[in-house]
Amino acid sequence: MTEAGRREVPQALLERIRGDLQPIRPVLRPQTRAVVVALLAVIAAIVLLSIHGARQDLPSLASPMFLGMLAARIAAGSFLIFVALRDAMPAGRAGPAAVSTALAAGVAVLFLLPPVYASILVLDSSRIHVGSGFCYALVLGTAAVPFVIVYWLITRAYPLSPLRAGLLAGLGSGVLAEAAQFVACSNARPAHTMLFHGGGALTVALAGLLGGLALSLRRRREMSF
Amino acid sequence: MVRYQGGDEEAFREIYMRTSGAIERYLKRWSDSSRAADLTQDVYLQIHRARRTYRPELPLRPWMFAIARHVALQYIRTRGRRIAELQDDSALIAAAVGSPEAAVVARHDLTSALSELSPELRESLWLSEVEGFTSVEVARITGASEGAVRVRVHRARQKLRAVLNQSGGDA
Repeated sequence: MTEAGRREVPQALLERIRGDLQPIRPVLRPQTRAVVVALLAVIAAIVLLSIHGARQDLPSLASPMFLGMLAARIAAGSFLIFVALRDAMPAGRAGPAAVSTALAAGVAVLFLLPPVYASILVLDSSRIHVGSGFCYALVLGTAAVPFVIVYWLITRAYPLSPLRAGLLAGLGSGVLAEAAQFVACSNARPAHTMLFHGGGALTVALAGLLGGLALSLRRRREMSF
Repeated sequence: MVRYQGGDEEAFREIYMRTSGAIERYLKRWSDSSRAADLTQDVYLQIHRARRTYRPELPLRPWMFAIARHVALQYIRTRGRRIAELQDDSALIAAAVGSPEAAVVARHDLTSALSELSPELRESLWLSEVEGFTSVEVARITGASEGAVRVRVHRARQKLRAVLNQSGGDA
């Protein structure tokens, strides 16, 4: 110690720090990063729709109800991603209420909105042509873009609960992809939307959870115990 | 901290010299004294890994203590020990008891009262009383809501006050 309460840095620690002491830039605010990710997710969705095409009945669906359902999905997905990014900031992380609200909103738009929507919409089964497996794959493909970006942003930050941050990131990406699929797929049957659209989103959430686990294990290996 | 983020080794040394005493004292609550020094090094290594998440507009100490708490919890999980078994509250007792005479009378009672508090209550009380953090900062460190922290500190204080009053009456 140099004086009371002041200590020299142990040499072993200093050696480890020196190997990785290049200048770094602080991460941007979570809200800024969430907006960027949401914009990139929208671009990915537009690319998907330009390739796959929008649902055939889209012109007849430009109602406040349809737009509200779409807005709810985008809002829930963006909020989940914002909470995931905030959760990855030590001492700035999201509180329990924000995490619970985000998770509940994600699950609600995936599994509560479809039956409500189907109960209002008159289904025209002759227009339904999209295969279920194809829908599932499209959700995964669209979700890959925001998920890879958010996961990378989380690994660059420092989540104190990596599993939770991973779950939020995965579910948020899945919900955004499901929003795109809502515009692409004309099959509004609750069983189809919940199983193949919602199931796709939950698969991405599971991938996020596994990503969080990998991050947690990697960090554990760095510690001395 | 901004200089440290810019790659200045001297800035890291300065942060370490100024803060490692408090971090080690905090870690002693969660581990045996002999391990606290090693854990302190783990904490600063993780602080280094996390340094890009520090934003200058936020206070530094809660950010550091949040990482220290994370390392301590990892240690406890690895060891498979219950949090309550490890808590060393000697500094909390010293802070709670005023005069040396009162300390002699009340130390035993306080230790007994503290052992009855839940780990969450004790931790909130420690961070508030010993480290001097505000409720907002304790919430940032522990991940609890600010309201929950206020309630925990209030309940813990009530309980300790009752013990001290009782102890004073007996003396």
